[in-house]
Amino acid sequence: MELLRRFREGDRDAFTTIYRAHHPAVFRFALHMTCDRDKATEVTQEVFVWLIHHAEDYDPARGELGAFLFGVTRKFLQRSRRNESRFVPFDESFETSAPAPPDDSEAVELRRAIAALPERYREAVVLCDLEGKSYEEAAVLLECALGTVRSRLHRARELLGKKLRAQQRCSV
Amino acid sequence: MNCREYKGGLIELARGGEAFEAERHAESCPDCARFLDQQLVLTELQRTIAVDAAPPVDLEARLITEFVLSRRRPRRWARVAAGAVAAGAIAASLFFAWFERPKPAPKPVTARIQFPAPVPVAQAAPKPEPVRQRKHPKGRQEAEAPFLQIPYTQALEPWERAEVVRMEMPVAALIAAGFPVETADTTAEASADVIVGEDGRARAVRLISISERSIRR
Repeated sequence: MELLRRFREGDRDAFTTIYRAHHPAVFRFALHMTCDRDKATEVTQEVFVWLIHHAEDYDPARGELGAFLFGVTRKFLQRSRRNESRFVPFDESFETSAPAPPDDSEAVELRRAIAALPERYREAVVLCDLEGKSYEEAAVLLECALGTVRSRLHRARELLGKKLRAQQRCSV
Repeated sequence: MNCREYKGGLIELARGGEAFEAERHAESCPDCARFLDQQLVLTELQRTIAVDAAPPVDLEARLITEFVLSRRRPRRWARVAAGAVAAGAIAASLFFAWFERPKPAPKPVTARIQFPAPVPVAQAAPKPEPVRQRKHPKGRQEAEAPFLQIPYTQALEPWERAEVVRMEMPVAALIAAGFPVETADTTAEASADVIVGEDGRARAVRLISISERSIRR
C-alpha cells in the first residue's frame, strides 16, 4: 500500500520497484501467448504505460496488483490480435517479425504448438502449466469457473500431446 | 469407467497431482500408459520453456522516462478542467457579444407627402418666421418650434385624427413650399415633423434640423 501510494504520488523509485516486481510475469505471459519476442515487449510496454497513466484505476481491495496487471495484459493481447486480424500479408510466406533461427528442438516445437492453440486453451496452458497458477487462481484471472479451466487445460494438453506425437513420427 | 474417463486423472498425474485409480488403470492398459508417458514428456518440455524470460533492458529506462514525463504533464483531470474553463469562457464571451451587439437602426418612417405647387411668396398666407438652427439646445428648440401650416392645404377639422411623422426631406422641397429656410445648399436634407391627416396629405411641418453644411451662418 505504501509503495502504491508513493507510486501514485510520482515517486520514481516506487515505480521502478513495481516494474521490477511485475514485469517478468507480464512479459512471460505475453511471450507465451504471442510466441513473438517483439510483440511481447510491445505489449509489456503498453501495459506499464497504461499503468502509469491509470494508476488510480487499481483498487487494492479488489485483488493483487499482479492479477490486475495480468487482466490488463490480457486486454492488450486481445486488442493486438484484433488489430492484426485487420491486415492480411501480401504473401502467405511473409513474416511480420524477424524469423526465428532454425531450431528443431522439441522446446521450440512445443512453443509453436502452444501458440497455435485456440486462445482459451492457450491461456489455460500458459497460466496453469507454464506460470504454475492453481486452478482457483486461473479461474479468477480468466473470469470463468474452476471446472472450465480444468477442462480447457485437459483439452489443450491432449491437443499438444497429439501434435508432439505427430512431429515425433515426422522426424523419425 | 472407460479409458476416456481416465484421461483427466492421467493428466493430473502427469502434472504432479494424485490420481490413484487412473494410475492403476494405466498399469493395465497399454494405450493409457502411452498417453501417460506422452503427458509426462509434455510436462518435462514445459519446464524447459517456462524459464525466466526478460524484455529488453532498455524497456525499463523508457518506461521510467515516460513515468517522469507523465508526472510533469498536467493530469488528465487538469487538462479536462482547463478545457472546460476555456469552453466556458468562449461561451460567455459569445453570449455577451450577442447581447451587446449594435442594435439595427430603426427603419425610417416614410409617408407620402404632397406639397402644393409653389406659389408666389406674396400670395402665401402669413409668412412664417425663418427657422434658425442650432442656436438653442436641441430639446428646447423642438419645444419652441411651432408647426407651420403648409400653404394652400385644408386645415384639419377638430374631429379629424392626424399623425406626426418624423422624416427627412430635401431642403429644396421646403423652400418650394414657401418655408423660409436660409441655406445656400438646396441639396441638403432637413429633418422635420410632418402632420399627416387621415387622407394621407401633409398639413403642417415643424422643422427640426438641417444638416450642418447647409446652414448659412
